[in-house]
Amino acid sequence: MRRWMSVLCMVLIGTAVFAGASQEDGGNAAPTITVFTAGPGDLPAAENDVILQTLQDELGILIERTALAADYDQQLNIRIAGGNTPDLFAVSDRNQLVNVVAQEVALPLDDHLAKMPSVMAWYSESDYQKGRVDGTLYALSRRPFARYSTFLLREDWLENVGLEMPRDLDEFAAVAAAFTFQDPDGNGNDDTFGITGYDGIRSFRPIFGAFGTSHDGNWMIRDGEVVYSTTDPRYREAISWIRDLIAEGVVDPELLANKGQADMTKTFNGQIGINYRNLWEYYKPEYTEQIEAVNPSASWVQMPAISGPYGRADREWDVAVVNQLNVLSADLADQPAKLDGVLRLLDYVTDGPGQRLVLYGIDGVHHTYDGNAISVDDQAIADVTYAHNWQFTGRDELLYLSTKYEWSLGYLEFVDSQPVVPVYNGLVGLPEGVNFADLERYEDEEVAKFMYGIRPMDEWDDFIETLYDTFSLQAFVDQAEADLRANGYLE
Amino acid sequence: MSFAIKDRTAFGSAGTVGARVWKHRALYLMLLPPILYYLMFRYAPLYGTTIAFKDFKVRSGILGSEWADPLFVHFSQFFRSPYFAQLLRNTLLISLYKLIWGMPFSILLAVAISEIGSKPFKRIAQTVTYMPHFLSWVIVYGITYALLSESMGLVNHVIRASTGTTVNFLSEPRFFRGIIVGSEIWRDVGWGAIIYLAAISGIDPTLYEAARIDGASRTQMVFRITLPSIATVIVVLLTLRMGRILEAGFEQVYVFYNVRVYSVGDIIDTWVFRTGLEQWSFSLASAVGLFKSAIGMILILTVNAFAKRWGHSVW
Repeated sequence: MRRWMSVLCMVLIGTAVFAGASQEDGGNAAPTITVFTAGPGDLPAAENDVILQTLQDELGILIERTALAADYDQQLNIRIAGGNTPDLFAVSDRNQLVNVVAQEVALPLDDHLAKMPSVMAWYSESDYQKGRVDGTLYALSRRPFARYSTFLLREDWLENVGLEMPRDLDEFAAVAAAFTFQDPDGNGNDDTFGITGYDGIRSFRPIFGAFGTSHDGNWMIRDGEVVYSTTDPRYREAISWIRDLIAEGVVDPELLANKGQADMTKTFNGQIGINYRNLWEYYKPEYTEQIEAVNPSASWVQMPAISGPYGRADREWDVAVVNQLNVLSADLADQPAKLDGVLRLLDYVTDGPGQRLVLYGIDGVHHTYDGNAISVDDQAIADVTYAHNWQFTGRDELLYLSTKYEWSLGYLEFVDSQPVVPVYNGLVGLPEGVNFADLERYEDEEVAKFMYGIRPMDEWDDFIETLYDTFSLQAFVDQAEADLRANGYLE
Repeated sequence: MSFAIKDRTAFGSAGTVGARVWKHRALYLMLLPPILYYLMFRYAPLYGTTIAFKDFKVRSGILGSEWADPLFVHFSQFFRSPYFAQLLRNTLLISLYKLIWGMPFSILLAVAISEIGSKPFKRIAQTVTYMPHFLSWVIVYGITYALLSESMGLVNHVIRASTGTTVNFLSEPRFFRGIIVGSEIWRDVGWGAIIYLAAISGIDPTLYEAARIDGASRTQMVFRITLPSIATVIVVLLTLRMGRILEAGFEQVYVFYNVRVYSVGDIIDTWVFRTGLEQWSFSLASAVGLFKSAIGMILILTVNAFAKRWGHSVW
């Protein structure tokens, strides 16, 4: 019996080794392309993914697709460090792109653009700019998403406390106070708060906007000069204003400890009157159902930008906003069949039938296309909600969203009409030899102390001085100036 | 195993190594898999730590990457971080608190469980206490949040009802380490007790019988028999824990901390995580890992030297 067990073990180990070895030879068959991106985790298994099947059939390739819902950066990091770089993968921002380029795992794309006619037709110079490092194109930037987020506000509470939609900072503070202290839900208990958020100290984006600045860590240009938001005097004013707001007790005390969907739980429970969130979380049917399940009378509206001492703006918006940068593995340089497959895949989903496939599913099943307009089968398209995972090069946002989610057009247009403060982070890289993570931690930590009244405001200048002295801020500023000059945003 | 006896006659007292190995070949054969395991998974990867002294580039590989210039640049990046002292202090304190508070609880639990008379109840008690060990830290944070949250937590409901004020447990630096240590004890006390229970069950029952005949009380038996008998196990575990003193529990701290408690909660591993992720510094991460191992080894040797004086050393 024991001998039998040990023989079995040996056999199992042996087959595992050989199975690993035999995967390598593909012969002349269709090339297998590994594709690795982040995603919300809604991708079905390959055999149920009709979009994957169609792409494979149309392009004559095999696709191994992974879309990770969590820890994407670490997983990518591990795969690359393990010498197992995916053929096509995504990075989230410019810093990551600079890193993969420095690690020499990214394939220069300039010479291969000619093989992607649809990309060349659709991409503008500013799209390419986002994917360039030191003048060489290393990534195809996904065409950006529209803006989705604003402050959202309980309109029924506004009526209950007898106030108007706030137009400036004072009115906003008054509404937040009323939502906290005047029992807006009328249940006789002191159980509500004015404002919550999911993004810690950055949940106050529209407040920074009202001060004509942005949250910490952003690069702005004012009067032809680079301005780092954290050191902007307007930012200090905004922090001081928020400090008073918090001292008043109208902000969710767990603002900084909220993780995941904690703010949404408070929304569903009817504890919160104002939240900074994207419209999908408040208007997609699955969320509105949850909101109304607890409070049938609850009605959330988007709040217009409020005005402050330096004009009126809703939030910062990156001029070179990046949602996903598609990078090809440098290993593909010696694998022409695979390289060709990846290029055709990227080109196919950018325009024409390929783009319609990754937007609206299969023609005749999920939508019908009459050569001119698309009509979506609302029932059937629910089966391919995961299609967005295949939109590597993005989409015509408003057209797509309003075709797929007709109800969203009004909300999208509302957000789109709000004025913004332009920032340029998408074009600024990290200088070498300095630790950005330390700087980031110090800023977040100290700003939180100022906001929460733990550090007196008259120590603000010391705080800024420490950024320069201890955390080498000047090196970052120099880098930003160089990058923005190279991209033509500075004289 | 009859061949062992036969071998003695075959080789007599010829004490060559080869002969001795052959004589106990069955035992050596059994030793082979673990040796292979350690060679393959513990010793072979050691050469990878050289990237702590290199500017590691993925494409060039471990051997092909350039040596760092200066050689200790990644170490000095860590040492020169404005947060180095704070990180070290936080890591050591959290780790020590966990040790100081966690071990007695586990020992106490093991003694308590071993004192239970009813066998089925004993089993249930043991299972129930070690189960939380299998919960992920995200879930434990969820439970902690439900209990301690200022706006909706159970504890704060009670505090508000009795005093009219609330306490922000989750974002106050003075509570953070306590919450970390407390939640760790809650989750792992039963798991830690398993090994003490095993040691207790190995104690010769005649000792207890003799003590009972002499009229010893239960407490006396615990202090005179149980605890002295497992003292060696306690010291061994303590010594081994010393080797991991700079591991304060990355996963837990990462889930629990927030910007307000960085000053007391940021540990070496979370710093490496943020820095390494931001700048893909594999070399930095491995330099810090090497530093932690070096400290761990020094501590193990020191503690073992002390333990030797009391006759409880590991080796």
